[in-house]
Amino acid sequence: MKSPEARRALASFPGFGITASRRNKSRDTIATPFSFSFRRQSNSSTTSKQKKLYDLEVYISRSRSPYFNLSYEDYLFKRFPAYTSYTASSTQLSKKILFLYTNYRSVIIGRNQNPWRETNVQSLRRHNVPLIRRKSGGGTVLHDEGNVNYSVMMPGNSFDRDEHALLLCTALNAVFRQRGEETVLSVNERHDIVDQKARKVSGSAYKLQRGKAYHHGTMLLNSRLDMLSKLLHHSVDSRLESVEGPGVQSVRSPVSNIGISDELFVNTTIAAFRREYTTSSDNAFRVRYVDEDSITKEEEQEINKTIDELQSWEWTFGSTPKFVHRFLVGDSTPAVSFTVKEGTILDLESNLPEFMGYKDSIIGTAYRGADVASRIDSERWKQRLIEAI
Amino acid sequence: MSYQKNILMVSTRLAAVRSRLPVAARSAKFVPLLSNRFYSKTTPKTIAPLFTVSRNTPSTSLSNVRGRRSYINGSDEETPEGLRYTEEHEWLALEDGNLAVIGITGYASKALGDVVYVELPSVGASIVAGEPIGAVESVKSASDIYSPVSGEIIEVNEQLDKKPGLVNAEPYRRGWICKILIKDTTELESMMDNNRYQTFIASS
Repeated sequence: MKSPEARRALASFPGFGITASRRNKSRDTIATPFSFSFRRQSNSSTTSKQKKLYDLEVYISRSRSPYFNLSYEDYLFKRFPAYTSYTASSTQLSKKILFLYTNYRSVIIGRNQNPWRETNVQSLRRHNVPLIRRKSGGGTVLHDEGNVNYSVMMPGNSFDRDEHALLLCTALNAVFRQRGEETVLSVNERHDIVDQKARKVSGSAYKLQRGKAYHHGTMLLNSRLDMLSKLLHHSVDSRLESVEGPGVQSVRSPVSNIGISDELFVNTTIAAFRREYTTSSDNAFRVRYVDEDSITKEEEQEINKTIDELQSWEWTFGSTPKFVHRFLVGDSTPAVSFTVKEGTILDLESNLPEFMGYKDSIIGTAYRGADVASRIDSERWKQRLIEAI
Repeated sequence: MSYQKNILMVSTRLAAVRSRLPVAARSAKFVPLLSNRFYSKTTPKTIAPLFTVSRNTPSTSLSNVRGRRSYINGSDEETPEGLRYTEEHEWLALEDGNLAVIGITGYASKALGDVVYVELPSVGASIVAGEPIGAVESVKSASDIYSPVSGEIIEVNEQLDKKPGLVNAEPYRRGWICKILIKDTTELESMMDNNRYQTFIASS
């Protein structure tokens, strides 16, 4: 395994800057339970290489709304300059943005995931937890007020999946040492931050566009971990439903909180970024606080458009890759299966009379519980479909 | 007994030697690097199947040695002639004068890692050059793909739904992404040819 310094040297590849040593590793998203991968200790990142400076901007959100926070993040990313080879300037510093935010309890799925497979949709409704599809890749996470999210935006040619995670590990490990706690964080092969017992404390996801990229991740400080099993799909009886189809599948990991306060985490993170990416004489540095009230009218218009998109059924559920959703009865025999593409029912297979007569009217409707239930007669199935779809 | 042992020695030695060969030579029917000392003792036909490796499929004998099918070290290391390239690492092939086939280059697909999902554009959509026409997901990263030309999307590669790995295995063949009917062929002139693209990769 190459050292972080060597990896970072490799990571200065243009365009994507991916760790070349990773290319032949096994697929990250195959579901292997509790994958204990090789763990890399954090290293001081300023020892043997020249410090690369950036024009660092730090934003902290005061809002707890996941819709606002994700939309603001998207807005910051849209505004972030695209550093392509023809705009490269050696005199001016490239920009780097750090955005920190906390959401109230919500489940966030990756861009190409299947919500019916990854989450317990019924349970989400019962607990009144919103489901949101984000724009970056990766798996499903549960956010709540004990979890702080960090988002780092960088030029495309300095994209590195682990750089900022390693920076956080170094900074947090110093805090733990100072407090006499035995927690030691490191970054594993799946780009997660794990503690000394290989429990995940932070997951990451990335988005790459022309000339720019962002890396955002969670950080479990004091999160309600018991809610995970209630809301995410591992707990739903697989004798009742099954989902088949392409799309990214989440990889399950044991998780743990690191137990420090929000304030300490935020301050540590900002101090670490400042130390690493700016010179100490930068007195003009300030943290910008944002929320729904402090944004300008023009910003508000754009952000509201993204909020509407994130709240729409078409984006959250309708943009799921084509799949087959089977409802089972009794001894796991399939009773009815729906083939759904782009949120519309393409085909229906069932040997039950409750569905066979209505096949024509069901095919072509949107895959929403109320819509499908209104087209059949059986009360029992109406109830079941309304809850489960 | 020693005859069988010799075959085993030759086959493992062959695998070790071939894994160090450049890709083009791996698919050669005959590997002339063994010393005569080994070869003359073991000429029977059982050796022959080891040599016949199709260029298009990953070698199964090699994957047994490594224990895993390696998509990334597939057969498309070099960038083909006759295609046009962009700085965003997309390639374009022109069919019938105004039908452009678009994909991402082997360089890009290697850098991205194992592709697990490809978001395809919708057929019939009208595209302007520089607009995103989909995205590729690999290692938790969603990367946008941009169209180098303007036109209408008339076909997308449905195979990528079930087999997103084609983008890694055959970025220039079965891993194509979409076909666009171009209106304005002057946009093609600003794209790079193979040599310029190789220079671009090497210099950046």
